[in-house]
Amino acid sequence: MNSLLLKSKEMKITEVPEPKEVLLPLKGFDEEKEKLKIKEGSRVKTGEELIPGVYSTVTGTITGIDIMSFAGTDLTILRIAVSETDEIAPEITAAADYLEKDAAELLKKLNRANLGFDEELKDIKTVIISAVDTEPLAASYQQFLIENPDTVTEGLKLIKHLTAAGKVFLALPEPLLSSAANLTAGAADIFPVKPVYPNGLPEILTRDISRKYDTGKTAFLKIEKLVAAVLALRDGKPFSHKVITAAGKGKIKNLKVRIGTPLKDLLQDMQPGENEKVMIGGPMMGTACYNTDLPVTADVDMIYVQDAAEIVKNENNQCMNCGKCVEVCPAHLSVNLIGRYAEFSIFEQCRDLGIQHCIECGLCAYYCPSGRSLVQFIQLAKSELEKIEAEKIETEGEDVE
Amino acid sequence: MKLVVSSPPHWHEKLTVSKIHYNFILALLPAVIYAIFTYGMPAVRVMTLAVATAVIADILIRLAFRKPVTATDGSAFLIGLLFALILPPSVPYWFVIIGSFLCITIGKEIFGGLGSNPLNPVLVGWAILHISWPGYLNFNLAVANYNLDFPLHYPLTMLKNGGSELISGFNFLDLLLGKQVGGMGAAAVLLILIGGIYLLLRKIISWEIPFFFAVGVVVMSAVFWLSNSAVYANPLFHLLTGNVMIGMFFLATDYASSPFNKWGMIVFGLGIGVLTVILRTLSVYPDGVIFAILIMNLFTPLLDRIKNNPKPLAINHIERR
Ligand code: SF4
Ligand code: SF4
Repeated sequence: MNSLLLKSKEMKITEVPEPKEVLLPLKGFDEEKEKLKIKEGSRVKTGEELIPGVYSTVTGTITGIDIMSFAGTDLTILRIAVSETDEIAPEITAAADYLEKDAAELLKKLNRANLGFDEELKDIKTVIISAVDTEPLAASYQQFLIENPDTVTEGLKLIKHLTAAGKVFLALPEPLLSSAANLTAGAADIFPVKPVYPNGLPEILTRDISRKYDTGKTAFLKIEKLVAAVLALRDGKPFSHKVITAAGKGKIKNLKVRIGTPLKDLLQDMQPGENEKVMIGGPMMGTACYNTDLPVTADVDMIYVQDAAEIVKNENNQCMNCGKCVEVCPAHLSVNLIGRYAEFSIFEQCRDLGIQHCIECGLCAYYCPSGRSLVQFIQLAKSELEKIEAEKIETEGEDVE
Repeated sequence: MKLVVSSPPHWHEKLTVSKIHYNFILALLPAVIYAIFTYGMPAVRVMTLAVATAVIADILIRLAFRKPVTATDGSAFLIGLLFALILPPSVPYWFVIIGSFLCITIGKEIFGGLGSNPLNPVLVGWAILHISWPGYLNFNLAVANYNLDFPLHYPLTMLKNGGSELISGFNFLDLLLGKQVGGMGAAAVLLILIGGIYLLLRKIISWEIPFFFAVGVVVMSAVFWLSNSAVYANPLFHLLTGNVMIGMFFLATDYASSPFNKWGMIVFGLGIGVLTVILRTLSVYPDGVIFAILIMNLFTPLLDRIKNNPKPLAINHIERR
């Protein structure tokens, strides 16, 4: 399961034309409270605060609010009709000398620029900046490193300034090692990674680096967000565009899209047909969508269209106890047992076997010869355990009264 | 437009249960050909009878239990074939049919079918026959009517009866090349080894059980041999005779009846190796492999309790979540 290695020109990041409409999920939207501010017909600028913590990624006119279903939850979605000209909210300002400013002030500015950095992470000792794509087929992080070397160098300095971390690591795919040798300018150590799934997952990177170095408390950041932070502070640009890999129908490409662009705008030349699958995310951890109206959000790194013939039909046969799942699990779980216990609703046993350590990488189900939906069992058991926990706390509370 | 929705992962390695079983059968093919060339039609008769009985028994019992019929997954075929390969070619037809039937019913299906059997099904059938009609499993009698180009004595019976003096006539290259009396396929040591290596390379079996099985055999037999080389055979002889090779790659590695975690596999393999040599040297049976595997099968649930220590994979994100 090698991740894709880029060499060809086609992997160059291409900007897609502006969408007609942008859809933004309103996290924590409270209708009663926000009604006055979010009105149909009111105009918003790029970077303007819509509700606390949610910023517009586009300049345009609000046209309405919708509910959409994704990954088992309902999202409240704000629709914005995009204007011709892009105006940036006046609160976001450029500063060439930003590196001389106080870290706390910079963090506030980053939050204002839609980057949502955590201000609580003060005691971290190590920061990992990753240019290793997480999913097989994905190639956006690596391409980002190739196309923005100077900004990356500047970003590494910024991150030291922001977090006061003793060590910064730049994780990159091994094949890029030679071309990136001078990139860090002494501000970070380079950590080469074999571009094979699951090596790019944040948890696996953290583990692998901590095996080789004394890291202490570690925090993780994608390379794209590092560059976005520099652009926000230095040039006064809010985080409004996202680079993603789009794969499917025999094509694969890196696209720069405005956050909130509906998937269907991006799938023009890879239209899914009847009974095919569209995923937000990649083939290993992606979430299948019910329709292509959903928007690209700030966390999306990849979209993937799977042909009908390639769709895996889970047979969910009896476990043959081959132990493959146990062998591949990066968290060293006894996945065969967890799968059986979850199947027969014995969730407490799953907890005793350490189910909470599962990072849902999907390797177990990828290798299971019986085609068992192990990840689905695990997700089910996790959510049931949460319910059990919640009930426990509730009844304990009653006892006290 | 209708889109398909399902839970991740959306890719699969495509090594399915049936492919695994067919790979096992493929790995046994050289030994099957050896059996046909060495023993002719009697070998063909035993193998077809064993396989056919196993598959039919599997279908019938699943129908009786009202479970989906899974005969095409190759599991029953493999059990029948393995059962035949450790038999002498001369056994009567009813013996094969009863044995193969017992393998499937008492060995496998009664416990819930594939993946649930606590003991290796092949060996359950074999052990019942061995205890009920021991006479038919006599390898020396089996080859009495043959005129083959190697010594017509089962090496392990020779060792049992006469100590290491009697076996000095065997040369190791002949033993390796299958020029020895034994199970009709199990005696083809080199061919079984090649099949086993194929399974290792395809990652269908893991290396721990075969490797530590061999280590167990070598260490234990070395202990005996070094203490008295006039009575006890040397480690290489033990490795190249009887069911050791087929046991190592094809019998001990049965998924359901062997442990699934690394440490369990190591103890399991070592245990079989050591027990094999102890049974060969100290018990009344010439070959101890099968009973050694059955005994260690009984320890599997215990060995599976060696905890696979879950490793927390923690992470902090700089971004707020
Ligand atoms: S998804 Fe499977 S392989 Fe991955 S961590 Fe969870 S249990 Fe282990
Ligand atoms: S990989 Fe599948 S069949 Fe094998 S032990 Fe795990 S759950 Fe069972």
